[in-house]
Parts: sequence; structure tokens; C-alpha cells
Amino acid sequence: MPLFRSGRIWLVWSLIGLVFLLIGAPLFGLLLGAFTDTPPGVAPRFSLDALAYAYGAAQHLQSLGNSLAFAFCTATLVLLLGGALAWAAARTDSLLRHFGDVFVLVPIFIPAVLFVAGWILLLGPSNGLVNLFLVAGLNLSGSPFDIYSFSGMVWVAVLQELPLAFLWLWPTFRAMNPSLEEAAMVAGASTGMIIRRISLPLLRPTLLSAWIIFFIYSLGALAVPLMIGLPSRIILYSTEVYLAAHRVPGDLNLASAFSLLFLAVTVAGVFLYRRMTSDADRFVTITGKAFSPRIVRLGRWRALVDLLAVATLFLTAGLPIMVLVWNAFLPFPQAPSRQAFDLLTLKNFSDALSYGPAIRAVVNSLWIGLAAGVVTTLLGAAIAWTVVRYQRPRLALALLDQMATLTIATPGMIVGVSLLWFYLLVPLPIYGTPWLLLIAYITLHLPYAVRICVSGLSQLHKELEEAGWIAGAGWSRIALRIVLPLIGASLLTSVLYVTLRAFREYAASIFLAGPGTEVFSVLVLDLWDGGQFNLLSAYVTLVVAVLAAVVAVFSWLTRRFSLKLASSK
Amino acid sequence: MIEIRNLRKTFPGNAAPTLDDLSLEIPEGSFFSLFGPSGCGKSTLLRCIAGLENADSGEIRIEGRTVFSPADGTVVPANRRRIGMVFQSYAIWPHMTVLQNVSFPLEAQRREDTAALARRALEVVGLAHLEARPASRLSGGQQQRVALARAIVAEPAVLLLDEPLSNLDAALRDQMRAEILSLQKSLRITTVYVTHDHREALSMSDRIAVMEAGRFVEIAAPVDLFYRPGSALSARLIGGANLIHGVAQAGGEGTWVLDTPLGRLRSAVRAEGEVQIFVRPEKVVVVAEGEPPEGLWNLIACHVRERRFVGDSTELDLVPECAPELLLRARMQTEEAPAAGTSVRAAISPVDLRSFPKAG
Repeated sequence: MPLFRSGRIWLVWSLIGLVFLLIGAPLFGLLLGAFTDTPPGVAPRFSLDALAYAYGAAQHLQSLGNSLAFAFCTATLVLLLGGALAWAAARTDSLLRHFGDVFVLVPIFIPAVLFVAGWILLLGPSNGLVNLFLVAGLNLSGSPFDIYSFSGMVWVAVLQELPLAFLWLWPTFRAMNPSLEEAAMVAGASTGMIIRRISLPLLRPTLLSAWIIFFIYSLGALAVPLMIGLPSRIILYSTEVYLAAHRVPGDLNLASAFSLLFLAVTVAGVFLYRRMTSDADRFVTITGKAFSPRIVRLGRWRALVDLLAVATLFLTAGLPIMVLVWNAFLPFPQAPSRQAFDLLTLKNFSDALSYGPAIRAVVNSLWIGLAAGVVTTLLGAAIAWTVVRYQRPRLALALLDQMATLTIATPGMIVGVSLLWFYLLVPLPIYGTPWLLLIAYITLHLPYAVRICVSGLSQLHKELEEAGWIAGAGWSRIALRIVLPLIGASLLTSVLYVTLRAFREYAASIFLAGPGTEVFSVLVLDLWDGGQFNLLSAYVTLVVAVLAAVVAVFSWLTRRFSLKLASSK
Repeated sequence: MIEIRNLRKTFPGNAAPTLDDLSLEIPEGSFFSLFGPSGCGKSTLLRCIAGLENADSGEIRIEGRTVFSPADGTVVPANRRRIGMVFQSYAIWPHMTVLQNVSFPLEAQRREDTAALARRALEVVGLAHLEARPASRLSGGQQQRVALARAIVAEPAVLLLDEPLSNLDAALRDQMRAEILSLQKSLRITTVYVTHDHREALSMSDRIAVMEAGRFVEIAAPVDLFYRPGSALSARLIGGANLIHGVAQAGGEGTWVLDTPLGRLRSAVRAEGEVQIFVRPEKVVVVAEGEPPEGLWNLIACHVRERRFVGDSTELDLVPECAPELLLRARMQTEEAPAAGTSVRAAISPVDLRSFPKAG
């Protein structure tokens, strides 16, 4: 056993304590808020008014219905489309096979707000580019598309979540033991029968659990409900939370009361998700063994699949980026034309740079994001190591594992609202400082860091560490000289992933950012609210360019790191 | 009967071919093993027979039917080849019961009376009592049997086994080895068995193909392969062997003379020029120093460097006095084995000294 018994227990329990503080404290704040009618900072007075209003009023039930319908449609479509794409990338000879990771990475650059804004500029009823084109080209009397509708919301949300679905399903499809399908093939089954009787039943737990994650994610999304839903008077539950907290005077009690339902759905969902994925472990589809998956030759279908894949990539990344870059050079939104080209200007860029908090917001986002990336990764790596390597104390380890991944699908705004309560309550001078944002980002992204580190660590054979013990090294030397170098690439990936997620995070930030602590994504939303499309476009174009450069350096570092390891083997 | 002609396959990105112009005929009802070190192409060849992989060129016929011949444009997919296969990982479908697993090939091939036939296959492997059990709750040996039942249930033309015993513990492996063999004999099904364990290959097969680097080194019956291997390479791959360099010339009266670092040895097997001489360890006779024993040939003075008890016999590492850089390995009855450090004499009968022309 690596650590002495007492040292091990000490480590496990201090990690549990830390995670409990991250999750438990805001949860307490949320409950307190929901069951009182006093604003934070004042002596609490218990009351059920907020809860009664949140769950009793007819309009709230209406928005709950909207939310469930929205999340159901979005999650289902995302699963179908994302599943098909992931399958094509993992298991066929289509083009997607070669740029699968591009598909995962590119959309991470595009902040949610920007993505939605891009699509509004494309499909807006009065000045959407696609509409303008179609009206001019086909001599239509009115715009064929109206993004300000339920289907418009689902369309944008589905496209936005596709990369997530891809990220979720692609590795699973690749890790499927190919001999399970080969055995059916040898037994005489046709391709259709193999898919129906073998592949799909084997993947069912994975697909269902992925659906649950997409459902929760859609339920908690805020950009689409705010930017498309609100103008079209389709109020979702997440919109209610936002409105309750942001109307003047704000009603945080009501916002907390609303959030409780989200919390309940999330916990139930994560519980179901866990049950299904532990079921999936029973199915030996996913083992640590590196399989080379069986590649299906698509034959004449290949061209069609390639076309669809390119089209999807174009819709999820190409088109929104193009529309933003185009608008960045224009004084007001319009379709490309001879006159439009004459209007091209760089003024938006200079305006964006001189716009009050613009630079500060980017700097804030970058350093808070990076700090969150580093801290979350360190914590995640410690938790992953503990969970992967120790067998006892069993209960405490299980508790740590469950707690650390509890927030995997938690909507950002719950974390935002609840943190607001807790840190207004406690006499720590954190409110209104970047610390609050940092804590929120760590809480939200810890599960992802743990996941990445666990997958990195489980590839690292235990005996490599044990050889260190035998050689007489202490645990700090083993961590520094053996574990860290070997899982360094995973750690860098985790830092990069969390930093990027934190950079584009808006749902929690919107509640926590204030004057002086503006962050990029919230500022973009503000600009959008102020109707400054073109300034916003220029601003985002600049920042995404900077971000892309940062990521390029980062992935270069990661690759160098793995190369160095590979060559030293 | 399986006929393979001029099969070639090179995986993209590999310089060397994985299957290098292989031709082979496996007689009806025989047990045929593909034996060789990992990476020699034996599994790829098996998967080509199954249709799970396709060679670049060549021809495969199963029971007279051409299943693979890109020249004629014939490539019968795996699910139309009427084969049974046991995978190394067993590939038991974990979402089905034992019975569902076994009856699947019958359903896929649209047979009648699937349940009854599947039950009979389960009886054959002795698992009839487990038919309702979820396949995910089986031990390694039980999974092995289910895989076997699933492979034979549809009465395939050929049975392919891809290192089926490599995931079992030693005792179970011996038992399954015997069971697979008796099953094969009673069904008289043409069987191709891939293994890297020479004891498995020797004990089960009618014929063995020794493979290395995508080629057949030798195809022979087990006893011939063991005692009269056709090349130094297959001698080395199948069981331990002493290999010594030497120069051979005719010695008259049906004998040949081998000049080696161990001195001049006499052989009753034809040899010429530069050769590699091969002696099985159990053919090295060890006698105590002292009076010259009668009827022994090719006496070599040695001392015992090491003595190892290996269960059914004892292995000795002998260092020849005249060539202390060499090592001669002998195997003998434990009771008669001398202690380490003893000076002894090794003797090799002329009929047991086989030589191969030196490669290259």
C-alpha cells in the first residue's frame, strides 16, 4: 500500500472535506434562500411564499411545460444526430474519421452566446442573412424562416449541443469490443441484424445515459432561452430563474425556489445516469484494452455520409463564424452584396478595443479561467489518483467519487444563484471579487477534470508506481518523478479543457460577475442586449482569434509532452 | 476441406507483408493448427478464412466453394461462409442469456427448431443447466464452453479457433484442450486452431503449420515436426532444442562426420557443408565420469552448471570442457540426474543428430 494507513485516510477525508465545501456550502445557501423571504445578508425569516409562488402560479407551470418539451426534443434530436455522427466517425471509413477531434475542439472556441447570436443573424425574420438571400433569390414575399419560435430554439440548441454529444459518444463507440460483432457476423447475421440485435442492445445503457445528460444540459441552458425564447415570448424555466434574479428589485428567494426543481431533476438524472453506466460496466463493451474498432465500409453511401458530416461541421462551426466575421466589418447587419462590400470598415474593431470594460473582461476571463483550469486539475488529479489506486476505506472512496462527479450536469445558474447566497451569508470578503467566479468554475468543472485524470491514470499501470516503492522512493517522489510525467499529457488536456469551458461559461457568471469583475461571455451577452451586433462581432472575432492562438500553443505543448514521453520509452 | 492459394496481404503502412504468398490445403475433418510467435500472421490468416479480413490477392475455397477470389470478383462475406468461430475473448454477448447466445446463429441462418438445437449444443458442452443464466454471469471456463456451443450449433463446414485457451488457468486449459479435441473428433469437423503454445499444437493437431513473418516455415504432423523438423527455425520454435554450428562431410558406411566446437561427432543422418546441428534435450544422454560405457557414441566431457527440477523430469545445463562458451541442455529422469558441479559425460546417438544446411 502506497501511503501509511493513517496518511491515506487523512488524504481521503481532506479531499472529501474540500469537495463537500465546494458542493455542500452553496447547496445550503440555496435551501436557505428557497425557504426564507429575506434577501441575503439580512437575518433570515422563514417562509414558504417563494416556494408557493414558484410552484403554484399557472404561468410557472406553463414555463415548466415549455422547458420539458424543449429539453425532450433537443436531447432526443441531439442523441440521434450526435449518435449517427459519432458512429460515422468511429466505425466507418467516412471522412469524419480523420477530423473527429476537430469536430470536438472547434465548437469549444465559440462561446454559446456567440453561437446563438450567429444563428439569429442568419435566421432572424427581418434581417437574417439566409432569409435575405432567399427573399432576394426566390422573390418571396416574406421570410421563410423565423428563428423566434419553438422550432428555432430547438434547432439552435441541437446544433449547439452536437459537439457535446459527439465528445460523449465517440470514445464509447470506438472502445466497443469488435469481436462481439464479428461473432454475430460469423454466425451468419446480416448487417441490419447485427445492429439491431447486438450493437444497439449493447450500447443501450450508454445511449440512454447520454440522453439523460443531454436532457439536463438542455434544461439548464440559458443562452437560447434568453436570446431567442424571451423575444419570442416562449418562457422556459431557466428564463424564470434568470428573470427572478435580474428584475429590479431582484428576488433571489424566488430564483432559489425555482432552482430547487432543477437541482432535483439534476440529482435524479445523475442517479439514473450512474445506475445505467454501472450497468454498462457489466457489459464488457468498454474495457481498458485498446481495440481497433471494426470499420464498416460505406461503399456508395460514403459520399452521402461525407457530405452530411461536412454540412454539420459547417452548420455548427463554419456558418456562425463566417456570419460573425462578416458582421465584424459592417456598420449594420446585412447580406453580402456590392453595396455591402463598399461599406466594409475596421471601425468596429477600434470601437471594440476602446469599449470600456472590453479588455478587462477578456483579461479577467483568461486569468480566472486559467486559474480554474490549474486548480481544478490539481484537485481532480488528486481525487482521481485516490479513487483509482486505493481500495480502502471503501465507503469514503465511494463517497468521494460520487461527490466529485455530482455536478457533472448541474446547470451553471444553480451554482451561480447558490454561491451568491452562501458568500453573501458568510463573513468572507469574497462577494464581488474574482474569487467567487473561480469557486464557481471549479465547482462546475471538477467532474470533467476527474474524468480526464481517471482515464489518464487508468492507462498507467499500477506496477509502474509499485516499482517506485520497491526502489525506495517516497510518495512525493513517486508523484513527481513517475506519475506526473506519465500522465502529464492528461493533466495538460484537463487544464486546457477546463480553461476553455470556464472561458465560455456564462450561466453561472451572469449571476456572479459585477463591475470590475466583468467576464467575456457576460459582456458579450450585455452587448447583445444593447443591440450592438456589429461591435459584438468585431469583439468576439478578436477574442476568438487570440483564444485560438492560446489553444494552438497549448496543444503544441501537450503534443511535445507526449512526444517526449514516446521517444524516451 | 479448406484450400488456400497464393494468399497475400500487406497492411497499409507496413513494409513487410503479413501474409506472404501462402498456399495450404487442410483435409476434410482434420484438426489443423497454425502455430507461431505473435505477429507471425497466424491470426490474420484465420481471420481471412473467416472472412473478417480480406487478403489483397489469392484464393480461398471452403468445401469446394470459392469464398474468396478477388480475381473472379468473389468475396463471400463472413456471414455467408457457414463457419463456426471461437474468439480469443470468447465474445459472448453480455446482454443475452446463455441460450440466446447459442441459438443466435440458428436464428441468423433462419433455421427451424432453434431452441431444441441450441439445447443440444449446450448439452454437448455440458452447460444445459445454465441455459437461462445471463451471459454476463459466467466464469471463464463456462464462457469458453458457451462460445464453443455457439460455434458448432449451426453445424458449420469449418470450425475456427483463435487462441481459445490463452485466457484460462493451467488446470482448466488442460481440461478444455481434451474436451475441444474429443468434440472435434466426434463431430469430424474441419478445424483450424491458432495457438502460440507448442504443447497445445503438438497434443491436438493432425497437422501443424509453423509460421513466421507471414510464411509457412514447415507443415508437418506433430511427431515429425518434433523429432524430424525440416529446419532449424521450426526446431527452435517447437520445443527447446540444442543448436550447434558445424561442418559436415561424408564419413563412409552410411555415416557422416560433423566437425563442431564439441569435437568431431558422428551422425547417421545425411549432411553436407556448413550446417546447424540440432539435438532435442531428451536425446542427450548423461553418464557419470569413469569407465567408458558401452554402446554410446559421441561422448563429450562436460560439467553440470545447473540442475532444475521441472516436475516430470529434470533439466541440466551442461558446459562442455572443450567449448566452455557453449551450453548443452539435457533432460532426464530426476532420480538419475547428477548434482550441479559434477563432471559428467554427455552422449548423443548418431540417429538423433540432425543437421540443416546453414541458413543464408
